Amino acid sequence: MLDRELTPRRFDAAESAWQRSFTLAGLKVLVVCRGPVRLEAFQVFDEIGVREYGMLLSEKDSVVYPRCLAPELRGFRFPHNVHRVPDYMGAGQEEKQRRIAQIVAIAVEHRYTHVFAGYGFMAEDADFVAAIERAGVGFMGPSSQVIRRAGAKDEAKKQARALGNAVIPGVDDVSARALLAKARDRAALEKLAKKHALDFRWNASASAAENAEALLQLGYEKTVELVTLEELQRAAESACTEIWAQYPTHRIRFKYIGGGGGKGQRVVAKQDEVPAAIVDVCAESKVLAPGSNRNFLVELNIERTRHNEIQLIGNGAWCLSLGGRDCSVQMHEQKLIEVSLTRELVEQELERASGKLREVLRGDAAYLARMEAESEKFGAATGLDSVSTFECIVEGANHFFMEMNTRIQVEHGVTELVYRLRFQNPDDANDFFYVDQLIEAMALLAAHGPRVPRPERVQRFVSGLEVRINATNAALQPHAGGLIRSWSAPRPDEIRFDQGIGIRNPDTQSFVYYNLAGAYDSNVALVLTHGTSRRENYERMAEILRRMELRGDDLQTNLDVHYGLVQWFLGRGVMAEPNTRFMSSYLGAVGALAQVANDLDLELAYGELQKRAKQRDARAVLEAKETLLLRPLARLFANAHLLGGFLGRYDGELWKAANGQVAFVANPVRFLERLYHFLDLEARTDKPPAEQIWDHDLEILQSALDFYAEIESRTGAASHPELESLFSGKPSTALSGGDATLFAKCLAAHRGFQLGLELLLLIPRAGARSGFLDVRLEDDLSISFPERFADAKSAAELARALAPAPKADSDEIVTPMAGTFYAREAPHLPPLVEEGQHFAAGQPLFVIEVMKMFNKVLAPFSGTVVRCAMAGRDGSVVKKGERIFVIEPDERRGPESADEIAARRREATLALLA
Amino acid sequence: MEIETPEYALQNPLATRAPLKRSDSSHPSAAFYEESIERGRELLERPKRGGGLARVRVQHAKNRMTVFERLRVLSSHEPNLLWQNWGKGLDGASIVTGILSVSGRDVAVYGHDFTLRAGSMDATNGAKLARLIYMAAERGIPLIGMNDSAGAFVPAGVGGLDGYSEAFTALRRISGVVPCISLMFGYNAGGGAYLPRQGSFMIQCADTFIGLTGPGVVKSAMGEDVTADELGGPGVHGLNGVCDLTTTDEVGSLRTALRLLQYLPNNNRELAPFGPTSDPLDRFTLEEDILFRKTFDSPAGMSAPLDITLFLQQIVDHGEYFELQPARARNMITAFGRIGGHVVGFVANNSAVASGQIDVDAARKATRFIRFCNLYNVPMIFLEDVAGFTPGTEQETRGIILEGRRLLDAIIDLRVPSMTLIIRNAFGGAYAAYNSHFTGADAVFAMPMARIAVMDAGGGAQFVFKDEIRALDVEFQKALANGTAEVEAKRTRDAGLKQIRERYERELMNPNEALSLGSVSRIVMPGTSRRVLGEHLAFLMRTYRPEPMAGPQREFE
Repeated sequence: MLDRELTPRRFDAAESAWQRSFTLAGLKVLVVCRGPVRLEAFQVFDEIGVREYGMLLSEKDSVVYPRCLAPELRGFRFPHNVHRVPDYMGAGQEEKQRRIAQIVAIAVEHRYTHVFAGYGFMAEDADFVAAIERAGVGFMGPSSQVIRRAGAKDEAKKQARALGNAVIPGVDDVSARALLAKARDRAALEKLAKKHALDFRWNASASAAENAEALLQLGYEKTVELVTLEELQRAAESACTEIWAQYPTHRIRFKYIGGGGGKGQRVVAKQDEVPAAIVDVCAESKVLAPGSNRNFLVELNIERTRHNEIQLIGNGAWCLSLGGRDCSVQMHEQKLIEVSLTRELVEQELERASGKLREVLRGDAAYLARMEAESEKFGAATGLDSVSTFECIVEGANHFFMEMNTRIQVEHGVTELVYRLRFQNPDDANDFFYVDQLIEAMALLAAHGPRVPRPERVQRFVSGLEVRINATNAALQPHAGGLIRSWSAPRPDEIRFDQGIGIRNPDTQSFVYYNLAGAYDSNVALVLTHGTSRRENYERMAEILRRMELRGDDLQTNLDVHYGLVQWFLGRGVMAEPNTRFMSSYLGAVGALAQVANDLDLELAYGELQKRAKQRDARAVLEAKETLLLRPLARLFANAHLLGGFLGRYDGELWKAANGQVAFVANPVRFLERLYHFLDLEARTDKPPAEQIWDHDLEILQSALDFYAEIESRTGAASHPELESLFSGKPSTALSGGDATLFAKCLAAHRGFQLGLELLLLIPRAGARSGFLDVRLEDDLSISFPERFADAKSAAELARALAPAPKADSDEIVTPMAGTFYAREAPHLPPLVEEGQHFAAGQPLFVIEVMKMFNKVLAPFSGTVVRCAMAGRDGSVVKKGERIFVIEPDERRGPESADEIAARRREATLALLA
Repeated sequence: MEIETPEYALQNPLATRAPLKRSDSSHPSAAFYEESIERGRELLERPKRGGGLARVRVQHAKNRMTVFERLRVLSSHEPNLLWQNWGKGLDGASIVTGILSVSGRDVAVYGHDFTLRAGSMDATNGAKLARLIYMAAERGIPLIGMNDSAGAFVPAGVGGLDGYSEAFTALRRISGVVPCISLMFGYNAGGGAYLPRQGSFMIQCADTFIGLTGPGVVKSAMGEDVTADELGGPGVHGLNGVCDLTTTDEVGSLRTALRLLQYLPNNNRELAPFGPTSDPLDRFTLEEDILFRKTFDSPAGMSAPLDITLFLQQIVDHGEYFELQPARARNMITAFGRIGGHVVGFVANNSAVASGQIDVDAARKATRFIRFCNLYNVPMIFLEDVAGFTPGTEQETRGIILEGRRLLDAIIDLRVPSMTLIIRNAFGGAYAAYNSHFTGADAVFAMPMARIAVMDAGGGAQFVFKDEIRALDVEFQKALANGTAEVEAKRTRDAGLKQIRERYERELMNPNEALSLGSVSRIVMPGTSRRVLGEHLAFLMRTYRPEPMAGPQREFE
């Protein structure tokens, strides 16, 4: 907590007895989650002075992958509080119950006062939380009662409807419908109950659906399967038919009731996609096992919406909303960027807005106020006794309630940046304290819940922003593995939750290599920062990402995607209101850019410039400037995300593009200087020379910048047109004071400094050619894309250019070693792959036994099995290099020869050079 | 007279900072001193200019740093450069030599200046390099070489070749005296490839070449059409053992060298850097138990492959280890790590790759590493889980007997503290050769599931239960003669054989016999390996005095 002067203190060291009464020194907390929140929780617990804490080490934390021991263990304060579990959650109901029992037993045996589950799957699991409560241990988070009331998506919808909130059309009782489809009435239901020995009593005052629901609940408790997967599929099909009758062009979304983080969700467009989607939803939610509660929502998929959410906090008696977060920039149902959305921010923007923008912002202010009011009502109705998130989708200035996530969210840090909580002693106006971390607030509520007075929210920064660093390739597809060899330390304004990857070896102070395969999921780290306006917030984030250095082997993260995006928003408008489809369209646009960039041969272009230069001194100048120009251009064109970011950031400022023509606006020397800065290549002493401007290039660039600064101070000429006119007319007296020789020298210097810089126009030309520059921010703050980017299918096709699959020549898979062949891991298991099946690179294909050792052979590339040459020959001996499968690779090496590629690139380059 | 103004220039005519004023020699008495100062300054500057701006630009255009820029990545301290103007042109003869302070340690460093004569070698820089190398040995400091050389300087004729010979000789003479890390930058052919491989460890980054000759000569001499990268890039040398480590770029290589240096002693008279650890030596490592359960409770049972690095990371300080030749022959892992703050060389069978058998490549990889540790007083721990050396035509053709024997010799020659922990399999010749008690291990430990035996169950039972097997066969023949169906008779016989194999596994594939003979010192329970190995290591190191290797030279390398 923070005292009145905002100095951090522990409650037990606070100035007043009232404040001291909220001490947390008696707490011993067991943390049962992985991911960035685990280390964050430890850090908060250290600051607030809980007595002790412990962690659960899962197998993935320790023995599944090399080089990824849980980094939090380095220097862990309580080594005796490290407890082992195989995993945090089991596959299937039975294993989950075993896991719950195990965790509860650990908590009880080691006398933990509380359990903290972060945003793991277990945090929202009512069974889990109830088991902890029954064992007499506190749960640091919403109680099982709240989870049951609000957490399950179907229950929440019902509650919201009852409170008069707007909800999306759909069906929330598909399991009950499936049950009623085969047991239509009281007699049938009772018969079914009897058959399974369930203690079911028909409730005459309730509907048939409610009775069916009650019977299902009994079934779940006893793990009795009342409704089969096939019956669920049929019920879902009929629910879909109903929805499609009303909204024929929309798609339909299935969402598992307890899901989170995009898991357990599928979107379908056609009736025949329904059965498979349901299997996927259940499999991902690990409820395929008979008797599991598999209920899922069937609802209209609203295609172009924004995703907003309200942070809530409450103690059961009061409930307070802490503003909103816009989480619309997402891909594959995973959020990428989260930015704060508060009344204060919108009001500040309104002050300087006019016209259409003003209208949009007023609408935003209005729906935000409604969302906050509804969320508080909903939170209070569910008896919220910790923190939760009220999730909505927004279309225009209308919002629809989606669900309440009864746990702390990944993006809670965004809210912590914009509001702190002020707790006031009801009996003494001068006695108050602040809390600015939600995990601390959770601890406070868990320890002293009913005594905690309703706080007041106090603004901290106007804006907060988070980006999620994920292990994905440039097309944002998950990328397994990669080894981090070093990661620069956080910058002063940066908050980084990196799961402890940055904790150095305490003995040697060296960075410990970290294998990303062991991360909790694809999320590697969260990076947050703040601002006194959203623009300043984005500027600060851009600077953090620009300077972040993440090095390693075979390492792919979305760091450059974020850097490009943040710069793009800075150029196009940080108040933009992207919808949830934005990211897939944007990726399509970047993919189109990559196609143009890949065809560009910069050395050829430079050679062309040299050919065009007639004078000897011009050729000498070009020779001297070769690395100055080509190096940053090559870096930019090699990475379409950086290129996209630069185009978005500087379109209109450094150049203007209209009707396919591009022209400099600013002095091209300034353009070049911005390019070096953008690429983090400017001169700095703390970087290796290979990662900054070469010294001879710096000398030229600095001379040029000094020259033009002096010209500006003498003549006021700074922009490209001004400089052109200055040097195309009569000698300027303002510049040279009538000294003809000096003017001639200045003219020569101007020519020399400018020579070759027309190459920079390749950047906007590539932007124009690919259509990327046509991606625009409209007056209503929506973002418009050309059709081929807006269309999901063609956008996905274009995005493939960002991560081309490895090409293979081969039509077969051979064994890399001699031994005994097996198609399967054990006799009772199915073959690892079967004929006609698609396999991904790195997937196990077959097993070779050598000297009693079973070696799994992994696919070197992706493809489809055409035929298994070893079918039915399990146990036979194979020689090294023997054919196992005939396959069809996904990507073949193109038929294009090296010469043809060169010719194509030459043509494309010359066309772009104009 | 009118001064001609060029049409294009890159100087700022409006600059307010005047260019450095040259000396004013109008005063005759001051002239000589001023000129001397000026000449002195020029001499100091000349080697730093290398081949001039144009050549530096060419180097940079290839995304390569100059030698002076590379030095700045190794250390923020200014290097103490030696023999700066050696060479006819007073330019340092395209090689830079000096002493560099790296994290408080003195390191001898050399680097070819590719901008000058493409870093080629002649008699002068051969001598210069040799002088630095001998000095490193005399002073007992490690050597880092930054190689970027096109080979011999052809105009120097035989002198260039002599230069190489002198450097080759110097580097061989200090081999085993001070450790040497060779960094490979640029394009290194012929002598430029041979010279650095004499060092202890070689690190190659992407977009570089190492080879006898480049693709051009290969094409004209052999008719083979191949790119430089396919012929001698890191993808080739990371797999064949020429390079110990490969990286993505020059900065990566330089930083990797610094990390490797943390595990290396200064010379053969000292121990590797020791630092107390905050990771408790006596922590109970339940993960070991979990790992073994997970592995051996799988469908493949005691035959399941085990990635030994998963075990290694449990027992070293803070889980950190540094693997060498990580792309090659991973059936054998070679790595540095620390236990209780002592640097240890680990050699570990890795059954996750090719069953962890010892083949030619694995034997070579381990031999080289063991010899290094032995020369430089680095204690060793062997993690054993091996069924044997790889048999078969391919391996015999490649000379497994020679390479396996070299591995055995390197182990027998060990004079540093060495221990072995038998985790699972230790069969036959591999057991005998792999740092067993009688090859000189200071201590051999075994886990309870260790299977120390002459052969695995298939082969072993044939010998041990010869009579029982013969009896089964007699029964079988008898049954056939009595008119029992062949299928039936076979079933009976096979069931009997299975029982015999199981009996062999139960009775003989365990650590008991080895314990009873004193070949194994004690059982180590899963979870306590770190403590047992660490405490024993601490004892061995307390009683070990680091000194140079002595004694007769043996015949094989």
